[in-house]
Amino acid sequence: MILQLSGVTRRFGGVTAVDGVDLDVAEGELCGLIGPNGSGKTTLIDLVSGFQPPDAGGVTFGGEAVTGWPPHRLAARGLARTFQRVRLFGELSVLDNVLVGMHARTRPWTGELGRLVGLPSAGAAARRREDEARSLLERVGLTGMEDRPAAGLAYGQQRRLEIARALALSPRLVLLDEPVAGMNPSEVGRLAELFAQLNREGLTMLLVEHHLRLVVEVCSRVAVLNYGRKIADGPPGRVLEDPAVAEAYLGKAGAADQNLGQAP
Amino acid sequence: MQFFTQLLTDPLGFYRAHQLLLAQVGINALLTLSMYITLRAGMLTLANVGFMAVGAYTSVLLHLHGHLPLALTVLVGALAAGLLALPIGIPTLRLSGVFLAIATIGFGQVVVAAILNVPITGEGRGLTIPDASSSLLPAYLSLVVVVYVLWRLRRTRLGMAWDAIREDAPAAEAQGIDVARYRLLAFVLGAVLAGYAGALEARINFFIDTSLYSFQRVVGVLVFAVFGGIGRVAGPLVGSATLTALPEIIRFARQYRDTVYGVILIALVIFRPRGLIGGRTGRARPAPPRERAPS
Repeated sequence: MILQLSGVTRRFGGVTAVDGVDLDVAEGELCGLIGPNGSGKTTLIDLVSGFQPPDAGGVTFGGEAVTGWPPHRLAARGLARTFQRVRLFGELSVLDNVLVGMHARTRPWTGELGRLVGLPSAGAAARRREDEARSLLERVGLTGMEDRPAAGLAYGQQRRLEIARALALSPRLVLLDEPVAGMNPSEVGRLAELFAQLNREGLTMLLVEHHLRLVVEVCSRVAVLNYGRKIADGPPGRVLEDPAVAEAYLGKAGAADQNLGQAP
Repeated sequence: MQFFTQLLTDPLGFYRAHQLLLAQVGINALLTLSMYITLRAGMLTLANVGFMAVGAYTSVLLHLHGHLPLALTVLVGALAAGLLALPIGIPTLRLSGVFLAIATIGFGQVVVAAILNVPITGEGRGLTIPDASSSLLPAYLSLVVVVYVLWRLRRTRLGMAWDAIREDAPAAEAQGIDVARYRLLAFVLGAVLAGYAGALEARINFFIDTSLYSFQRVVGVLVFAVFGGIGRVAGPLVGSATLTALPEIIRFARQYRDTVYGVILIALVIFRPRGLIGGRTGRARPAPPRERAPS
């Protein structure tokens, strides 16, 4: 298990946004996390990535207890994430966004001084990183955009740049927070292909998504949150036929005459 | 006009006539670059003039009472400012935006109040340095070194981490950048540079008192930095040189200096928010024009 959550809880005033959630993600898995609006999906991502501390429960990452760790420490251990609302370094070029993403993998002192005085060896290392950044950009289909400011990209391109930046960490686990929100069907299809491909290469991912079709298509396992509680966990086909899940999405009346498994 | 004609026709005479102004330009450039460091890391801190006072008084007192050579005390003054920046920075850098600005203005005022009330600092009367040297060489040599280092720093791991933090601190944190630590580092380095500028200024001026570290100067430095823009290292240089010399060029404007600065600041924010010589902070260039279909 690369990621283990046990009884993770987060309260805001009187509201329990995440309520005693247990969730395991195995190495090499592409796990989906779905749930209606306000069910605590993003809060859960924040708890795992260190942006919020859990009020109760524990998080283990790569066999290490990491509860309460700050995000930068988790990132250095190989935990990458994207954001529901795109967060890029807007003034920096597309290429630099990916290069900054490699921060945790580069050493502070060797190279830094070399770069300062212009040592050729430091320049060579920088060029290698640049090549790697370019190939990451190629994977997400942003070749030719390297020198543009990130803020100048179209929305869908910004989302893909965020994914490339997350991959620049050489992560062991990527948390994707609604990566296809607001994208058109052909863009969704291309990203689904990318996620499936990355997963085949051995990358572990936790995909938080509203887009049920995407989740069904690429995930081998799906967990469902409702009111902060995990109400189902298993293969997508079985989970979507679960009456409790249909009820969470459609309400009692809707669940009676519809079945999510056959829906979109 | 005479200012420019003399500069072109009689540089030596210009140097003699305006030596003090040239010194001021060099010192203000160093001070503005200290502001550039923190702005570059996305923090509006206004403590730099306070650190300048710490550097200046530390240096002069060590020279007068400790009988250390002036050149050495300048370095010690810079380090003292940097050391003090640690306990100031650790709690205040949790703030951001205007709250950070207000807290750090407070620091500058506390430094001035402290100087006015500690007898060894000469209180309100200031301190005279009998054997100072008015040579401009140290100021301009250090300026060259600082500009070179800051210019190279932009493409290093540290410089790019500062850029990332300025653009989006949570995203930087998610990419493994220890935001709190890098912010503190910028704050401390800015303080060292400000303290250094203060100590050098004392050495050139033969005299220091608290009027050098007024709130007007805090605003002045901010205007220098914003006027030139922080997208390029040259921005703070152009800003501080132009605006320091401006009252000399337009003599009648001298008494309205603060008013002129205020108007300039407002005009800039409206018309050139990136500063006079602007430039993006990243390496991004505008996309090449699209090829036109043959008509």
